[in-house]
Amino acid sequence: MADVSNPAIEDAIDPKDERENLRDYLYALRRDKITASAVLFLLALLAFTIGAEFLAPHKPTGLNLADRMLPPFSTGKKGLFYLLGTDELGRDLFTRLIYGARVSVSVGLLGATFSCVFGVIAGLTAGYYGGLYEDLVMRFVDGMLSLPSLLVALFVLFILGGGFANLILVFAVLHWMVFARMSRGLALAARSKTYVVAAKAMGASGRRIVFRHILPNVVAPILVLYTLEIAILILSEASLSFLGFGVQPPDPSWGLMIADGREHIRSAWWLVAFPGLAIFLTALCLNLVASWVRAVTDPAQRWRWFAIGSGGRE
Amino acid sequence: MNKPLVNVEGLRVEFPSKRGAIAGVQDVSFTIEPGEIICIVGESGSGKSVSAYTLMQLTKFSGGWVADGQLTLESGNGNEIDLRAADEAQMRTIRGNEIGMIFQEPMTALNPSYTIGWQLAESLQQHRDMSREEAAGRSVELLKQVRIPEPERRLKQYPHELSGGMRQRIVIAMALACEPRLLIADEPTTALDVTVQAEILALIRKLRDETGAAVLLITHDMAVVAQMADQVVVMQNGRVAEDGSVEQVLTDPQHPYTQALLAVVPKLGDMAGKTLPEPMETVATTDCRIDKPLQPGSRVLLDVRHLTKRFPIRGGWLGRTVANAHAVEDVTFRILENETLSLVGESGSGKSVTGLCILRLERPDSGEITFDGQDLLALSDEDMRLARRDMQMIFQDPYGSLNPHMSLLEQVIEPLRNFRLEAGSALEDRAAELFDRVHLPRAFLRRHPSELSGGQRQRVAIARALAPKPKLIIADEAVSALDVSIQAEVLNLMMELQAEMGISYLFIGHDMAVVERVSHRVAVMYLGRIVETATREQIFANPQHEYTKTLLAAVPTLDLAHRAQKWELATKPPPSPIHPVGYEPDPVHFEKVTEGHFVLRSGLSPADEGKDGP
Repeated sequence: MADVSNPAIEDAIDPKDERENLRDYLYALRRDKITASAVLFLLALLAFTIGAEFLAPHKPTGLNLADRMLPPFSTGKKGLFYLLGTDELGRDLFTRLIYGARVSVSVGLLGATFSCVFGVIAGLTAGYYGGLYEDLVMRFVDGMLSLPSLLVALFVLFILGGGFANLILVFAVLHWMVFARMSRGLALAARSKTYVVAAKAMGASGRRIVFRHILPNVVAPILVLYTLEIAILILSEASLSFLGFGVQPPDPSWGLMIADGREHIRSAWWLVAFPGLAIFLTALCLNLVASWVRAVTDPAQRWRWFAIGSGGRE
Repeated sequence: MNKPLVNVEGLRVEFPSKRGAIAGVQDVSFTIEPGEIICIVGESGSGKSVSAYTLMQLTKFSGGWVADGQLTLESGNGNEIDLRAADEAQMRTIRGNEIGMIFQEPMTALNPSYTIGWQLAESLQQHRDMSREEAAGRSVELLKQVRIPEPERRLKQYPHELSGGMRQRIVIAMALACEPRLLIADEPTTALDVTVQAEILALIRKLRDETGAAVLLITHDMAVVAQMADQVVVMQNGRVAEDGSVEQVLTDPQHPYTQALLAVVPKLGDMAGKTLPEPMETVATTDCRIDKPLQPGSRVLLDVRHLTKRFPIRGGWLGRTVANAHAVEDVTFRILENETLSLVGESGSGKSVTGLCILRLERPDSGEITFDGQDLLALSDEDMRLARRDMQMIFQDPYGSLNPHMSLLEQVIEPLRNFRLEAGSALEDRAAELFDRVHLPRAFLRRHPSELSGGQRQRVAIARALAPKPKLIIADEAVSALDVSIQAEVLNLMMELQAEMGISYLFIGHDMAVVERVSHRVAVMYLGRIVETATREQIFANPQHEYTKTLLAAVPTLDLAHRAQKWELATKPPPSPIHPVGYEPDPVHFEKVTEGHFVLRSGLSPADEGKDGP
């Protein structure tokens, strides 16, 4: 086999083993320590969210007035250990954080998923078909984007009432426009690509072109936006719950925990600090992973991440 | 003899890969004497660009590093610079000052957001410490040097306002700005039309004579080598296959690879006196099996009459149409069954738009298209979709026309599925058959386009076009992006399929030597019109229109006696196909030369008369 291979020159190596598989992604991840820790954090978060019942050391709503306001790393009267301390009702903060993650993460995931699906369908079809349909969709998007979203969310939740399902509904309605705008641009660019013209020449219908030919090619940037959107929604959920329009007590959510802890911020800093840290770390890790995903899925960049023995030796 | 300007010895450049470092080029040695033109020639993947880029330490940016060998540059003051050891600060002064670079793609080598003047002045101010006024003065000089008309006005223009040839001249002017002693030109004419290519090559030679700068020209085209080189380095698989003076390499090639490269270059005039197309000459490993002559039928398959397509140019606040680009103007031709009609012309001549109009991928403004007795322009969208079953298209760029995220199996069965011709496991059987047909291994069906070479991809595109058993295939520059040896294989495959299945081709191209080989009849397009149409034999033996003659004369040949100097440098911009709203060009009038040979005698707009051809 010829020993000529590199993206800079032409690829003459048996392409079979040039395709990236899971092992290569793991290898690339292992070399990028920061992203690797972000991924680990998110995996741990997911594990805690799913297995909260088994992993949490205490009951999330279990009152224990004897052990009120204990600082982190303290042992209560009955010999119970509280890793991150307790709140004003004596509930374990660590346990509440775990259960709160369940609410925050699912609001983020579901909200982002709904707005992504709706926005991408609207945007891709608008970009591909064009004409009056595109004008209508995109002007509607412009209109929606010019609404002050937090205010609208407050108003709607005030009328419908707070709670999990309504929160997701509001997020989907207020966040699909970013996806629509982005995927319209992607579809516009893809529409003039030769493989799309070729698909049309081969008799593909409009729907088939949009969803079978264009969509798989624009998934990468959409995925990045999706990851970022999850982080944004977790933050929004925190602010809405903080204002009392989101998740209703006694269900824990990170934003709600900050709102409750606010009164005691002078005497019990941990009540605000740890939920705040959880929100911060989750958003940060999602951002880190998003930019890593963007880099490794970029055909012009990805080889750098999988190559062995790189590094600007000269 | 002076010391050589550049000395490269035992060069080995490595690149990272999944299985560790890999050599991109190895054991490459060459020298460049002051003022000489040296050509590095090879096909894609031969390492020709890597060898040259290493001189500027530009391989770093794609992750490569010099693993072994020596690279020295004799600088202006007589010092010898070790290019391998030079640090980034030293390299910055070398790039531009000592070595200038001309890139392949003039469209992307210039920054679209700045004026020509700004971009030229930038490097002058940086490298030469010139004031703004001095830099402006020098810029005008430079533009004059590269023969750009009205240099003062050009400085205020943006790159998109200039034609491709003009832009490449600007790129050359930028490379010349600091009077480098070596110019590296990476395929400087590959993206340009043949007539423009001839001009740019002539310009590079002229500049070499005037400034005494040495030129390192990277190319894949043996004809360009024959026109330009003093010294030649032939590269294959990252190694030097052969080097020597141009006379030596072209007239008495020693290495089998050089001999093969020279053998596959189609030569204009090879087909004189023959009426029917013939397969290309290939190297010994040919697998072409054409046993019967490619005789066209007598029934008209496609009849195009008075086809016109204009693209509105919008401007102003309200986006009103301010002018029209006349892409296709009153074009009429027919294709018989089993016949190949070649539509030739340069970029912007409207030949590709004509192809797209026939498939109704662009909607023509007026005219008639009758295909197999069906009036295509009268069909509904859904009927048109079904009509495309009988006419398929092969596109120029096999890297762009295949969907990167679909397996080859899915791509090949796409038309079968869309037209509901097969279903279930029959789909896969048919795909396997098609792959046999285009000589690709069946195992490739599971692969994705990125795992194939350019030639293999174009075979997939052909297999896909054959899938619904079409009567007509429109091949839009189907071989232009391929290496010469692969080009020959693909063309032979197309002819083989024609002999066997009786397909008609509309072959859209610009390479006259290829066109001469494959076509029964030829139509030459210029500014949206057919200016001459005849049988292949008539048009090559007796070209009538000025533009046809220009096109034929511009084809570079392997003949060393015809070096590029004879070329006049065009100073007028090429005539524009953009006309104000409401403009109606004169009706076409063809003069009959002999039976079946017609030449346009009027119908070009008055502005174009008298300067047909650039």
